Amino acid sequence: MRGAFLVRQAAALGLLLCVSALPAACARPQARLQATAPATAAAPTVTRRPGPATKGQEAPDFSFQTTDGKTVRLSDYRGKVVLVNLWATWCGPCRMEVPDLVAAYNRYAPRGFTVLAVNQGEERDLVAAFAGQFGIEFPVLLDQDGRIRTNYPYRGIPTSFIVDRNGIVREIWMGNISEEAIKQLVEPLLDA
Amino acid sequence: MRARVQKHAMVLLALAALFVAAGCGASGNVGSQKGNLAPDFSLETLEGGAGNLRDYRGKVVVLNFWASWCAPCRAEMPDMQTVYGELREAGLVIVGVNQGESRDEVSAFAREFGLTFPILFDENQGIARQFGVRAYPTTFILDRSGVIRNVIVGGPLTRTALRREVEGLLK
Repeated sequence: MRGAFLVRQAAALGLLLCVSALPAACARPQARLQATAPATAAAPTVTRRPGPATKGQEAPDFSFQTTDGKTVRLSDYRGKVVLVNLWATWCGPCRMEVPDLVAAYNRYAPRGFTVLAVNQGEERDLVAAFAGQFGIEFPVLLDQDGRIRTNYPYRGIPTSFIVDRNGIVREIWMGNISEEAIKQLVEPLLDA
Repeated sequence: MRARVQKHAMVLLALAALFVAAGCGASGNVGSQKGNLAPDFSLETLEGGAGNLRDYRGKVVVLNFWASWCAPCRAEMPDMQTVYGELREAGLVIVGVNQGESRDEVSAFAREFGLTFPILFDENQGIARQFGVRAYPTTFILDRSGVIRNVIVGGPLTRTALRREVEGLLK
């Protein structure tokens, strides 16, 4: 009786381990390719990379308040495709891309896509008014002291980081992005 | 005999057309791409008065689109100033085109960073649009005849990188 219980427990634990290992395995194709690495590399420790954000690697987590006063973390969106957009209202190319971001969000949100627009260093009221004016429905985050730059050392503004459902950075796009470019980059990740 | 003269004339005409086309390709085409002649513009300067791009013809021009709220722009300013100090005598000028900030903000910034190169006010970012700027900072390297020799999107540009961009053009 007790033996059967243990077996069931062991099976459950095994299943749990397999399932929890699955995303890691999917997420790190490079790691799997380097399977010849020493055995210690296979230790199942999951550490969140502090940065800098690099293509093909796990996106560093961050948390900021939104214009509505909610605290939002990137990791809250694990399972979705996320476009992290670093921007400011004063920046012409950023303004230019807003309608494209809005259109892409409206089109792909039902399939598991979101934009996190991380404003760089502006006042809440100004940013909220701007978001209202452009009909932005995705979260607008306030990075008032520009601290995201520590882990996302962007070289120009705007910059968009595209993060897949497993939290891996798949593209770093400097300069304004078009709806067409978002389509090319995001659709394959939504279908994946 | 007449046929031969006609043939010669045709060859000469074709050659002339080629020369004209090549001339246009080299510098006659005004635009914002590498190889284009940079479009002229006139903007107010920090010192007061108008600053025109053509005023700097004959110098190697580093045309830098920036704003003080832009972190990578701020980060590259000390090196911009350093290189300006080092190569001004050799014929380099850095032209900082500020994006939509007030005179007070810009002059405070210039003081803080000890900037001595010309700074112009692109108040509605119209010149940036004309130059097809897609991100800040963007830096255009212009040779002595005003032709765009390189476009660097993003920053911060280091002293080494900046010197590498301009040294060949200063010779």
